[in-house]
Amino acid sequence: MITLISSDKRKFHVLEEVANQSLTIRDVIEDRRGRRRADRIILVTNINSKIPEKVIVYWLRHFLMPEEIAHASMSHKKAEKLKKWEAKFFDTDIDTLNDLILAADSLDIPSLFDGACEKVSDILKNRSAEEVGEISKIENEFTHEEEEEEIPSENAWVWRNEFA
Amino acid sequence: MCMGNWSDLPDDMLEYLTSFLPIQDYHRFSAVCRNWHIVAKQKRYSPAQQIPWLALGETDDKKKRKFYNLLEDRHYYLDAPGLRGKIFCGSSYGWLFTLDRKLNFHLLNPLTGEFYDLPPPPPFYEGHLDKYEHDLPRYLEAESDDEEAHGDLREIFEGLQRDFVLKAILDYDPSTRSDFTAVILYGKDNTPAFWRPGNDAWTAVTALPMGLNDIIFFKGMFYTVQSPIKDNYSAIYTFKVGNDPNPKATKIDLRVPCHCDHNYVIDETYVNFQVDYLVIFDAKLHLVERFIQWSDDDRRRLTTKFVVHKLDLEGSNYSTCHRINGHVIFLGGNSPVVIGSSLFHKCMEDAIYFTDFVSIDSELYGAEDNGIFDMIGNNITAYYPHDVFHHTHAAPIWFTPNQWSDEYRSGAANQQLDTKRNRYHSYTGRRDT
Repeated sequence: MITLISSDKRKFHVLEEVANQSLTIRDVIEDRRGRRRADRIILVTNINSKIPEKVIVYWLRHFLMPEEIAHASMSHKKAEKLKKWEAKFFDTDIDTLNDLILAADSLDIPSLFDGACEKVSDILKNRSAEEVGEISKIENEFTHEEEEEEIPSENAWVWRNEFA
Repeated sequence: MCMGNWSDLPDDMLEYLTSFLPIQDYHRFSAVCRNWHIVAKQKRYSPAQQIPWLALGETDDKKKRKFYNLLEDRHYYLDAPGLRGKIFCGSSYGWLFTLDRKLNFHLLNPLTGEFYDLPPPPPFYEGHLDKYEHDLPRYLEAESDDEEAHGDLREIFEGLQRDFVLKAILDYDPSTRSDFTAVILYGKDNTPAFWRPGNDAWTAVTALPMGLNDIIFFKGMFYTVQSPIKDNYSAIYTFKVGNDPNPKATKIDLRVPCHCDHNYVIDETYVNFQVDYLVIFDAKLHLVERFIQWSDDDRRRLTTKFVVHKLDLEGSNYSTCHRINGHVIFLGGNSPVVIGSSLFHKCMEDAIYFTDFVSIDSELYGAEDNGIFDMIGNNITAYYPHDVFHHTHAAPIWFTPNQWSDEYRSGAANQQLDTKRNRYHSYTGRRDT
């Protein structure tokens, strides 16, 4: 069993085999093997407690079938089930997805990283730049010239439709 | 600690995120804010795979060409000069084969503006233009604004333009390699001919029967198919364009019997008939049969169903597929596009999205014949409103936008993407041992 401690000092106990899905954690454990028990505590200081909860839920679901996922040998039914589960798992607000991307990157969990990126891209798709700006609360910071001339002139066909 | 703040997402993650966006969303992403603009400009990754657009006719003012993205239910308007007044006789890898009223032939990527001048399609047969001898120069000299004055000629030559090339394909994407080959099925007999950059003319492939109606590139060879007529077989021929200046085709020892009930002859033409297509998926060549039947209600011919057979070229055998593994096939005058439906939740699984079959006899063979064939439900539904349609002269074809290709990605970024996507796999692989 290893212990993860989040930025807000919450502790999460996880089976090593489960947490091994994070390549970062696996490497740390590997390095510290055979040492004191205290070394099985890992600080994940850049992540608040909401995220480890989600990550652990994700790990547990995937822990059941890593080989099948890796070799794409899942039965059609199982794959459908996993797909449904993932759709529900990633059906969250865009800020949580942002945190999941950061967590998946620092913990090095490629499938979670890809899954979160894909979900974010689904949210961005078929929306105007203004809408995306509103959703993600980003100021565009373009100069007047860039906004009025440079951007509309690049790939003009993108803007020449119902958005325009 | 900056959680939940989009503007603080590191650039390499934003770049990676762009690899999930199809081209149009990629550009919209670049207009969200200054930093995203800079990130997108790096073009570190190719845009994500997307379903093809429907390449339609011209806008009413004839200045732009309409394209339709059915996933977004949105039209795009391109105004590349090379698109004006053209018909499309092929689409591969985001390149369009365009033919204008004066029979100028081009290969064009409308998003990048790159193009190749192609030699004119070879004459149908010795002296085939003779009967237009008198009219042709008059027509060719006419300015395009004089079109009204040459209405009668226009009709003849639009027919001619359409008859010249039934289908045109590429073996490789010209954006990634310059030694590609273009192959057309041309003239009354739909004879294959090839052209490579640097060639002055098209070279016909010999030893082939007339009436071929589809062609595809598969594992270094071209394959072409002759649709069957009554009590006959679909016949498949193959040839290679290599160092041989006069390539010859050979017949594949594989006979797929005709599944269509050809009846009802008018003017020596079957009213109900079958058209064959060649499609590749799951690394196998497949024969797709399309049945077109006269509809008394619509007073024209319409597609009624498709049947797919997997071809075993070595074993000279075939087997009929009841499903196509969840794939979606986009079929028409373009090189067929096959996409896994899991990528696109809105697409129907095991379905064939088709556009008109255009041939020498277009008026008879049915315009506005398009829809989605559901292989499981065995029925046809619509994907595009009928009333917006066109003259057969400009039958729509599927076109996959391709603004920059995989080769564009710097080697490092490419590698990074692959490692990232494979890492989970190699990791779990190691767990096994």
